[in-house]
Amino acid sequence: MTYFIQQMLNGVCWGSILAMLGAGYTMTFGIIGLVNFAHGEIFMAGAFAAYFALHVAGLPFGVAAVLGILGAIAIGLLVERIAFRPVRGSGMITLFITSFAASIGIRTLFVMLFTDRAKPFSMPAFLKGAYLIGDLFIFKKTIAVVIVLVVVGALLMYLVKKTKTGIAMRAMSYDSETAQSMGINTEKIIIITFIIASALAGVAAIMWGVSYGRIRSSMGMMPVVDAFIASVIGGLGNVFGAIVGGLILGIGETLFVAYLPPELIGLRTLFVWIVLFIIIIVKPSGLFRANVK
Amino acid sequence: MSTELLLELSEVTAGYGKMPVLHGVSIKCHRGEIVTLLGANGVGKTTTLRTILGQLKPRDGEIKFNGADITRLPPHKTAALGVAHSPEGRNIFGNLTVIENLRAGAHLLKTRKELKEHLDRVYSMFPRLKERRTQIAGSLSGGEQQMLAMGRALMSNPRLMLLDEPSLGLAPQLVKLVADTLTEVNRTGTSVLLVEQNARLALEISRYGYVMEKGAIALEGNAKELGANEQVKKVYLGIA
Amino acid sequence: MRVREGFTAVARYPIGIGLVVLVLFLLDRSLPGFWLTLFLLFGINTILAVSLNITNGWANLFSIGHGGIMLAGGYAAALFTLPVFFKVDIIGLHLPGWILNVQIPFLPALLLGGVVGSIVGILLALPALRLRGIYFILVTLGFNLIMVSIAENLPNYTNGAMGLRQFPLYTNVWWVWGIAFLVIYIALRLRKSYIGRAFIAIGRDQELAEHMGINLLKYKIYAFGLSTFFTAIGGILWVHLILNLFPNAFSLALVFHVVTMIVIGGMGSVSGAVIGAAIITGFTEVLAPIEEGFQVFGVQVPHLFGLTTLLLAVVLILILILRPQGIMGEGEFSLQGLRKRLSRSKAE
Repeated sequence: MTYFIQQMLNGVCWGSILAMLGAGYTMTFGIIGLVNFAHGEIFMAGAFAAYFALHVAGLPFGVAAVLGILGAIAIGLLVERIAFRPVRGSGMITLFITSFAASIGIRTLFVMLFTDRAKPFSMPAFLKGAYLIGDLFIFKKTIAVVIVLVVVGALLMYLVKKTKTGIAMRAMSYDSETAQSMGINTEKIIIITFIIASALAGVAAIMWGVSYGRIRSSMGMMPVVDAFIASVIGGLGNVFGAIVGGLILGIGETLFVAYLPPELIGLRTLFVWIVLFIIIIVKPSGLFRANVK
Repeated sequence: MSTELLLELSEVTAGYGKMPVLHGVSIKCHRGEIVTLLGANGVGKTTTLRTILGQLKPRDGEIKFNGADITRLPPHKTAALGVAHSPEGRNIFGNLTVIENLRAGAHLLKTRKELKEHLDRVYSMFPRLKERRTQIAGSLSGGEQQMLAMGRALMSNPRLMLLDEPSLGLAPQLVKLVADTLTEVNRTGTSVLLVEQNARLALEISRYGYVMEKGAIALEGNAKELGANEQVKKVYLGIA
Repeated sequence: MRVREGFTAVARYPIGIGLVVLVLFLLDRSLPGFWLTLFLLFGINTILAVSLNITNGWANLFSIGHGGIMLAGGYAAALFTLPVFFKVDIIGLHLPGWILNVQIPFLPALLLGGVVGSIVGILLALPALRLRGIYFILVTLGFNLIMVSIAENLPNYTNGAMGLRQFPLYTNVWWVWGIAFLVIYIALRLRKSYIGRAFIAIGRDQELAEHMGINLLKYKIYAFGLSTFFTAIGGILWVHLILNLFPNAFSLALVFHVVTMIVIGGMGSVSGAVIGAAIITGFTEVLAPIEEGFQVFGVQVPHLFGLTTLLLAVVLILILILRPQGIMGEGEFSLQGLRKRLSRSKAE
């Protein structure tokens, strides 16, 4: 039982990363119908920006975290500009291919510039260490990640549910033309959506760095697929659902691996896809109704 | 009645793809007026509204609002000048609650005080909306959706309201409520350009009217004159 | 200018085929190694692109899981074409005797791999075909990742990430281009047949196709089965040309290359797929020396691994922005069409 709970705790970090990524994913999908395949590279770029600030420029952790989020936003806006805006209004497949190409292109560029070797990402002293409660280790970094998840998640829900911008986003996702005739500047809303989604990816990147202590150019590939599945679990277009879906998937995956015989550890990717197949066949609309869409 | 010009379409030609739908339409609406646009289905009434809003770019002609050229303005900027729209088929945001729909309509308002003020005004016009304010708009009845569409358009306190078929499919008491509300709205300073199938109602509350046929204005005049016109009587009022 | 009446279809085919065989024979004999390999890669890419076009271009079943199909077919064939001594030598490989002690010729191995690819493809398709749009893409993507992951993690059957080597060099001009022409021929015939038109109808508007009485599931399975059969064969030809087999070679990057071919050529066009295959093959091989680094006037230019992929990504985005219909659109290349166009431009 202790092992089980310990593994669940270990899965919380991974779940929180997926929750942040999934929330961003679901927003771009819900509001503008784009499955942004390059979301993983936005995440990766955020991690690199923070890494350079931390380890090359030697800036304090807080500053590096902010720069990481800004880096993610910069790449997110770049993706919007080159791979989304020019083909807006084309079919879903075209949008998918351009974001797929952007994803592969950005990842390849980073591999060319910085190789795909792991780079250290050291966490600040106040996040090191753990509390021992009974037989359970509770790492300080886990607590920090959870706090960030709750705070950012609450802010995001407030933004989407209560603010003028959030209502405009949801109105636009339902009927863009009518929304425009209310004076809603849909161009601006699209940009804001990209900024928020990318910022969330940046937050996820910092969580990743703190949780695993290293980053690499190809780090965006797997989590983004998992995060997409998390948003499908939660119901595409539902921000809260994506956060819950991310946590379920992250913790589930960690438990799955924990109970897998060691020689089959490599099959961890299977887990998320089994979950996806079940969800899609049993309840394709996901657990929650879309609220952004 | 003041005769200051609020909206003026001169010789507007517009359409979808290669086919023009509007052929040189000219319409005028003065401040404080209710103006009606009559016509059968598919003659270009909705297209006219869409062109005014900027959802459709005219190929030729000019549209002026309150003295400014809005011919090629994008819809959100037209809205910012004070043009609100209550679309045909009551395109409410079905995923939002009633109050969120109204807040979306109030997107251009700056302060919370203004928001509160206009919300109260709309609620007093349509108490039903207040009762249902936390309900998802998609689950409202047809009449309630129409109230919501009108209420939402009024939230921005527009100078001009474009209304597309507000009485379509409504029960008679609701039609009366819509008509009364329009008169009330007009009395408090909002001009109205009304597109209606129900010509009797429209001509009753309007001052001036236009009759459209095949994408052009076929007839225009004071509402009373139009109501007395033999052709209008026969075709639109169903009086032989 | 009209096609001469005397040239009946009966007479045209043998002459055409004879000419093609002669050209292939001459190329086979005269091309130096590098160019021959390039020519073979072009043929294999043609097979991959034309068959991917059946699902992605016609039936609008946008699959990015075809890498997993190539992998399945590739391993199925490889286990039978590898020399027995090599299979016995690999410590990690624990195969049943009827696979371990057998080496079969290329044709049955190709057919076997093709059928395996097709079966795996249909197994993937059965649950996935209920899905549409982005969900379908997602499931095929997951399929590709899973296949690579399984191959890497079942060393008893695949030797894991270490891959397989020591393949006999079976792939040659005759196999590659024989199959390439067969695939092109089938695709062109299909396009004019009821089945092919059903694929395209499904791709254009699924509801309408259903109302027209097209059995959606049946024709989607046909499309997927046919496309994956030849995709698997393309994979086997590739393995027996480069003479090694690593699970990672069938990742999404490979699928990305093939997708680029059909987008450049024009999604839905067979000749477009061939043109796309030619362009991407040439592009990749021209850039290969730059990727690996080279010397100019005694200065060592550092290697730039990934340059091809990066440029392809840029090209793909540019094409979708500037000319989304690709080179051919959905049309086909034909001599008559070319003549018409030429005479029209002369008249102007």
